[in-house]
Amino acid sequence: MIALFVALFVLAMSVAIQSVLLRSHRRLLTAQEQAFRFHAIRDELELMAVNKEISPNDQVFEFVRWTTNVCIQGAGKLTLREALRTVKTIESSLPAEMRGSDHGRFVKAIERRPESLQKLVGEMFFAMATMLVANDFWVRFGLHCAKAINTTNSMLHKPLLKFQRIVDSAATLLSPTHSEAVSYAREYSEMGHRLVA
Amino acid sequence: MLLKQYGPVVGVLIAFIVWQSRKIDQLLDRHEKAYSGEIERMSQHMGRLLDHVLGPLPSSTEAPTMGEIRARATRELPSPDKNVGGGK
Repeated sequence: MIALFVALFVLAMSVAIQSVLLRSHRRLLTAQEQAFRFHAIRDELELMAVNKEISPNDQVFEFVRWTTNVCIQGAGKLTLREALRTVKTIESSLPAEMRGSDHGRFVKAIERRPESLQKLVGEMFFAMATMLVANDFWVRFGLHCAKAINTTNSMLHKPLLKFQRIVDSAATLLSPTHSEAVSYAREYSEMGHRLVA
Repeated sequence: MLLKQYGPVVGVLIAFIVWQSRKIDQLLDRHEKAYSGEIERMSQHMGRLLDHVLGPLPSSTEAPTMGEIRARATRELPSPDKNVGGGK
């Protein structure tokens, strides 16, 4: 019995060590998965330009290409602060006439483009929301909660929205970085839904 | 007596081994899915680009299989009763 016990203990330890050693691989894989997603978006965009569905001189083409390139560099490897800084850089690179509150002008400009491009830009915003939440549990949790509250159609919807506003303002005071990241991620996720639908 | 003494510890150890093994297995599955998916996507992308540059080219799925090549070779073999070499 003692021999069996020792054997099991050694096996458990070796599996635990293997699991710890694979932790860095997991992080790398998460980064690669996100980078692959942006690669796919960029390739699809270039193919659309090759098929003359969009002009390579189009501002949206240039913006999406530049954004995907920036995200390929950083996806999965950035800390929350760095990811936020990247997002702000991307926001500032929006063509001047498409800038405005809540991306309304940008979405309207995209909606005038071919449907395939709209879907592609929607996918890009989904990927950006994922990039923001990927490395931080609290931001991920905040985004999932907001999504769950938005999709609730019961009587609880209004009280939950009020509760969400209280939590939002508390989070802004306690951790502005996390709160900002959640609001960006929510905005991107909503834009993605709007464009893909 | 032995079961009472070591049973819970052995149970916990087995549960831990199963849990960790599953975690490793899931990671390897994720790895396989991510990389094979990317290779597949890249090859499709390359194919679509080449289609655009060179026009549609025959794909490997249209190539004859080994069985078909063998059958064709057998069909084309001269029958033994024919005098192929032209000898006596």
